[in-house]
Amino acid sequence: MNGTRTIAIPRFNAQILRRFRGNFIPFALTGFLLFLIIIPLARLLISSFQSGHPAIPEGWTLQNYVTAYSMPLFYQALGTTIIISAIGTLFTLAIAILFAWLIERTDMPLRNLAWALILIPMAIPGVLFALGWALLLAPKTGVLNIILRSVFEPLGFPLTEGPLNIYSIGGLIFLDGLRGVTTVFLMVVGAFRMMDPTMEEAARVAKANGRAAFFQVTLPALMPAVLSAAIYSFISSMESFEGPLAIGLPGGIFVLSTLIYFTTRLQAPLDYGLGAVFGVVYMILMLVLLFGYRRIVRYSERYSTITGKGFRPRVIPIGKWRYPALGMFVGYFIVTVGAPFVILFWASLLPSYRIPSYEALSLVSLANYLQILAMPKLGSIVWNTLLLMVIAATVTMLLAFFVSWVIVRTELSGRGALDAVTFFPHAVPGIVIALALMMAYLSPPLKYLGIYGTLWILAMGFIVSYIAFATRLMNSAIIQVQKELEQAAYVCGATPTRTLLAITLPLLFPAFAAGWVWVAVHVLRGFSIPLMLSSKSNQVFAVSLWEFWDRGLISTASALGVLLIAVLIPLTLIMRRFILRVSAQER
Amino acid sequence: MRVNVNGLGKTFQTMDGRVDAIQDLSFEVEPGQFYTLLGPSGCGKSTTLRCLAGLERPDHGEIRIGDRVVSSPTIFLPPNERPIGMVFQSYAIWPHMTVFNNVAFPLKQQKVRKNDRERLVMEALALVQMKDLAHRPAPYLSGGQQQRVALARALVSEPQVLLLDEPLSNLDAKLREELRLEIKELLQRLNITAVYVTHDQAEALAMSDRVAVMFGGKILQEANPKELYLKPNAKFVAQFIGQVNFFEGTVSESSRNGIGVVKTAQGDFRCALPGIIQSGAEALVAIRPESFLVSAETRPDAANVLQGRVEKSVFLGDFIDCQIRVGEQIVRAKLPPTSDLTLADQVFLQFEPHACIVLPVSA
Repeated sequence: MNGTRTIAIPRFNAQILRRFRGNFIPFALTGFLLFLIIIPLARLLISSFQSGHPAIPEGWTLQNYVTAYSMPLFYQALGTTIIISAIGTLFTLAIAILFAWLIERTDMPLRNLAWALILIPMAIPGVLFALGWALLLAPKTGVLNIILRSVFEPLGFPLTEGPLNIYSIGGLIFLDGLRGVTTVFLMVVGAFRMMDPTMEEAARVAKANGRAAFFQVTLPALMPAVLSAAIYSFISSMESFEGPLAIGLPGGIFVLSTLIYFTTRLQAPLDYGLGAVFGVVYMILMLVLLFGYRRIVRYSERYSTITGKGFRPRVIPIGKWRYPALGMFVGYFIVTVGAPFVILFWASLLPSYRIPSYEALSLVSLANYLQILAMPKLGSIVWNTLLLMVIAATVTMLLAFFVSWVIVRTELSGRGALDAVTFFPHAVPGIVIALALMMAYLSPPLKYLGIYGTLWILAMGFIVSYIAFATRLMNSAIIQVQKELEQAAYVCGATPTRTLLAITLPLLFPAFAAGWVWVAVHVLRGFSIPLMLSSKSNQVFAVSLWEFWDRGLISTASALGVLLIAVLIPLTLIMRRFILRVSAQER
Repeated sequence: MRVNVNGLGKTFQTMDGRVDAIQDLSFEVEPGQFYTLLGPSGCGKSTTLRCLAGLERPDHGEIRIGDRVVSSPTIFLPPNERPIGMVFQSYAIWPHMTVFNNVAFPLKQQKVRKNDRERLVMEALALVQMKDLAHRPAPYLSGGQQQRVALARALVSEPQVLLLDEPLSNLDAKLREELRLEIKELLQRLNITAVYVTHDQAEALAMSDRVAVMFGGKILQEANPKELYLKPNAKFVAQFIGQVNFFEGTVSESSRNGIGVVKTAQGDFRCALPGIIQSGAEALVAIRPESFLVSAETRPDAANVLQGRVEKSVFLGDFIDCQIRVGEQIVRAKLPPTSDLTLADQVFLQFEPHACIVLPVSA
């Protein structure tokens, strides 16, 4: 029993670990995280200064940087990325704030239903959203364009294509702006709910009318929440890959993420050194943004207008605007979910894609679905996808749980660094993580692990991508668990390990489960990491969908997409339940 | 089981530097005794208890439970291996379990067989009158019920020492008084050694066999409740336990037959004086509000008489809290509720030499 004795030293955990001859556990954890996170990124940095293939470098050079900085396409991509993200974010903010206000504060009809529906867009993978809109707004064959042309023609504007073109910067902004709404809504809706209503009431008493109260009191008071949501949304837009892949590349529009994909996966010959330079520049840019984000978030916490009191703020009657408001919400839902899903569903029922029409209706069948079911690879693809989802979600959450426990509950000297290391990947776009892993595991010494081309490298990519989110979630969850609950277990004779399993973990199960489902949903939806790291033996659902689309098999790809959405919608609703349980606990 | 604490010391590192939470603390708890650590917040009482539990590792000193050293500079037994039960201030009832599972947890750690476990849990719940609620989920308990479950959980594995950390401070006043007696009776019946931490002097006096008053990480006085109240040995102790009026003075006549004279701004007081206090020494005379006999006229044979005017009086039901101006000083006195003194009345305060507690003034 001496073993257990050495473990169980209170005050607490600092001393436990001290007994492990020099902080074994955080050491091991930090080591593992460094291995996962820092080593690939270091490899990326090194590769950016090397010529040739990362596995067989041909010496040190600055040529990659020179090439990059003399490439007009690089500046173009950088500019496009920033323009799309900036305008898209403004678009997102306007819609999300309007909906948060309508749903939380006004008497718009069906508000509860709207609250549930607003999460559904999360269940549509970005690539499917883009593909759906490609079918709707392609300049020649897009359904909406055909309808618009048939409207314009009698008016004396005969057109052969357009009038709208999704394969454009405008199209990308449109998609990006709509994609961000759910997240920003979730980030600001709490602030709308928790805001102290007496502040508005004071404004009304001070003779301000409703509009003045909103713009001069409500909105400024919410500014920190809005600002941090705005930067967060801007960061996500900067990292976005799926839309630019499906819409941008065919239209010849590059953003940073697709430029990396193109340089290291598509062009001939592939140029890893140049790709690494893009990756490094991209990462530095994101680090700067993230630094700003953290400062603003820290500042916003000082604002005390938003208290934990659970009051229901006064509902503002909007009178004749009630139904137009609902109409606007329905319109949003149709644009983000309804229209793309319907067109994909339509495409999935046809032998080859056709514009919806009565004649085409006679061709409708389930043949594509049957064909998918008969696909010999199907078994391994589904198995790979599920395995990847379970491994990535479980390892990410367990790692996050353990790291957070060390960060929150112990007084170890290295825990600040551990916290920083887990937050850092938040600044690294998925495509850069994938590129870094690719380079690290293609070249010695890590090459000899034989991980490249397996599911494990995909799992690593997802773990690194989501460890930041997962540790933030677990940190706040563990802080909520009163220390005495753990200490009571020690006093009752339980060892620390037993306490973690029997007391701490069950107590934060809702947060753990919410995080698990969140990661699982993102793994199912994720395109950038699987696409960058795919090979024959580790194909997952998303990659095979993209391959069909890329080969022009729109109908088969659509059928796969419909199946994927059918799995994601219930998962998203489960996640919503856990999120609601977590927030109920916090009160 | 006897508990020995010898030379205990614990220092915390805070933002303002090092703080000695407890310094060179020693005490002994007899088997079966109800021992209370009493003091204001920050006096080190909770740290001491947490050292006993093994939740805190002391920097110096030794702790023995029975014959076993559980903590010393070289030995440190973790909490799960100490023969203790503990009740926390927040109760720390695990919300994801039922009442039954909460109480069964310590037995599970000891690998008690299932049949025995059920019997022991039900017995423990019966002790605290919670048998009927055994299968209720923990979040559906009131504060008082949670307190009882916490007690059952601490007692179920028949610990040799029970540690209680302000267990009643989160309850409302009425329930607190009820549970006070209940816990005391229960522990007497089980003949268990208990170390109790509280900042509530009434609680300490009502429950304890022995009380240690702590301040600044040290024990100022250790005594039984009656002695503590009647013979405090320091200004802090007198003040902390009950109300008290202080008069500064000098000993003008040292003890003869146990009675001496202290010269104060309000006149010469004839006081019960310990022999060691020499004439000429500075002294503080402490007199409890209930020791004054307050009346409109004075008796000729009174040992000490003060004259004053009623400045404030508050009727509190079981007594009248009266503030009387005597010279420059406000003196508090407790009057029976039937007293008909009114504001601005001239009154006499009479008190016996034995009601005077003379405290030496340390330089």
